[in-house]
Amino acid sequence: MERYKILEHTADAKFQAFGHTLEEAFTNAALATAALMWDWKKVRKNVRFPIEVTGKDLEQLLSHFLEEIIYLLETRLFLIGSVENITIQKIEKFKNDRQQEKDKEAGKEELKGTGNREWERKVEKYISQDEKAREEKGSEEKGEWSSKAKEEDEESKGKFEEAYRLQAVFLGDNFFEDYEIYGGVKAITYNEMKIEQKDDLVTVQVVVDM
Amino acid sequence: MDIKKVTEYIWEIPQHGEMRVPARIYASHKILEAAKHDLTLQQARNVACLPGIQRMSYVMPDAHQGYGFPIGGVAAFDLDEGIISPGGVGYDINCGVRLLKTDYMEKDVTDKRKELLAEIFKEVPAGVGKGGITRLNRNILNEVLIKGAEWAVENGYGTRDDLQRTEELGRMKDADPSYISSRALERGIPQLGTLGAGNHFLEFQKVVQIYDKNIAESFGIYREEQILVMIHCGSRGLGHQVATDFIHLMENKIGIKGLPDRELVNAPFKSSLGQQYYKSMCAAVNYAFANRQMIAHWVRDVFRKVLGSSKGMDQVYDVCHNVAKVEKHIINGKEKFVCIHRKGATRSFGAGRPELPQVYRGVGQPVIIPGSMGTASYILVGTKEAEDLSFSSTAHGAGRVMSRHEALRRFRGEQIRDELAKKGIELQSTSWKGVAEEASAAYKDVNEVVKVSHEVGIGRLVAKVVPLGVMKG
Repeated sequence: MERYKILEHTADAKFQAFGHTLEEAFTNAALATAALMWDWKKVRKNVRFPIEVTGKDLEQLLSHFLEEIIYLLETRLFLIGSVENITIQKIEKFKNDRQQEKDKEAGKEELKGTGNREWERKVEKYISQDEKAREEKGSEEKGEWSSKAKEEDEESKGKFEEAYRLQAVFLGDNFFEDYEIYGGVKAITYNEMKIEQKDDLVTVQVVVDM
Repeated sequence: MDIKKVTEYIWEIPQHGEMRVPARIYASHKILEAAKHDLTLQQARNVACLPGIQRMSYVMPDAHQGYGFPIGGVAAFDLDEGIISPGGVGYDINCGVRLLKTDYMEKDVTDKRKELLAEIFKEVPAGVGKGGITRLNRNILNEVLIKGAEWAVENGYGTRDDLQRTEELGRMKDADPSYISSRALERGIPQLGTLGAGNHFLEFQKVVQIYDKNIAESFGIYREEQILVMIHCGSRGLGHQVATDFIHLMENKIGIKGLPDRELVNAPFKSSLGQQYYKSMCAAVNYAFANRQMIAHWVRDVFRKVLGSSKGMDQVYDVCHNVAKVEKHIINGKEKFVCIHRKGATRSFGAGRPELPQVYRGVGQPVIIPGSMGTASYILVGTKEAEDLSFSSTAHGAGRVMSRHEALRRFRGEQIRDELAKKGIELQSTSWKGVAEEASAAYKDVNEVVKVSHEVGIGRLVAKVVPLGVMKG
């Protein structure tokens, strides 16, 4: 079984990654993403980055996972060479992420490269402040989408929400002159994204914006 | 899918099913046939299903499949009933082009091409993961995000006249960086003042044809063989991260139920989330304007160093290709503000628009359409007709026809460099594989694209240029 296959896509890049398990397929998806930019087989394993991401469905989880590669490249000049100790778990959490605060209080170490949760909380604070102000003013938000969002919020207050958590360790090296970088992935898209399991084979398909 | 021919260059998908308005494609028969091979038309139809869309879902002549919205997609939304969508802007927020004129002629640079290119390559940082030389911290970045090209001018890059000749005067006033994530800022700090990679480039070119002498002159383009400089790049990692962040935020807050395509995730324009995206997008737009302002300054420095002077190297214009704006348009006989999304499309204002600087208000704005690497690029002028036809929009470039993967199989960067050299075009790049992917054979024929724009009347031909020196990221 090959790890991944680069496919035809007119504007950007598309690949399929394979595995006997979801974790294996995700690992190979990470390597495929790296392969679009550098030869990961040549990268020495001098540096390790533990990562942790969550997603409300597998597609979002995959998206966040692969986005870590781009983030670490651009901000830490880090090139991945391999992915180790990868686990994907289904978790349940409160809609407003109280479990996370609990973990923090319990003194758990927040892992590096954990993404945007602090910022998301800040934005959520603004959103709920705005909504409160709006309610007080008595003005109505037009548009079916916003009233839908309000409904969802009301319904799910205090309810559990299903989500997925992925933990892994990236091993690789810092980008010095001796590694050739030949492509730049701008972003992971949802275009034609597929995560499928058939018999013994998990296939993950991703289109990335180059 | 049912496609009606309206005229030789205008095609429509009539409103049906979940579409709220028809979809219209500006294309030649050849371009339309190519568009049928990917999801361009389906995407145009999907956009027509979004709430608050006004008039039609438009597709420009360089259309091809994008994410949610087609590339070359234009859609305007009512501010109260409508939405704003990161997919309608693109990941590379304010990917755009800046054009500088010079008073040099081809004969002035012929012997110095290699030297000019080598110096530009030294001065302008480019390539994947490559950082800039500028020392930035969060506070300075914050200023850049608010002030855009203005910040750059205040810090010694270029002149106030450049700002006049930039879309939005180089600064979108609604920018608010407080909604931008740490991660986006982290990516933005090391990358200010860099060209990037992919299809981003810097070219010095010569004019080979002038279609409208008067308008060309008002743009500063006087004769054939005049040297111009074109800079094509965007908001780098910061813009990409802003787009990514808000796509995820909107997915989580609003959800994807009922969307014809997950990539069309959106928020009502007047909702908190919609406004946060809009204001963050404006900040990313400003980042790209500052970026191009800095690079233009360095190019002028190089010309001064190699050729002796940068006198006469005025800016012609700087246009956005990926952006959402609030603009006034006439809908059903009434003037109203709409949120117009241009994804891989260029604004094309004609004479009379108050948004244009005094110098162009009597003429219309310059529209800059780069071709693929090593081929011709065009300068057009915006038109009054474009307002009714396409909410004042036209194409942005050539559009790909061949995958990067296949281009890599068929072409070798060094080979392309040699072929271009034979045609008198010098090329330098940080990556030869990157060059292979950008081979012009992998792109649509830009000549066809601008011809449609001209014939339909959404942007009229003014001048054609070909490159003499190309720097690719």
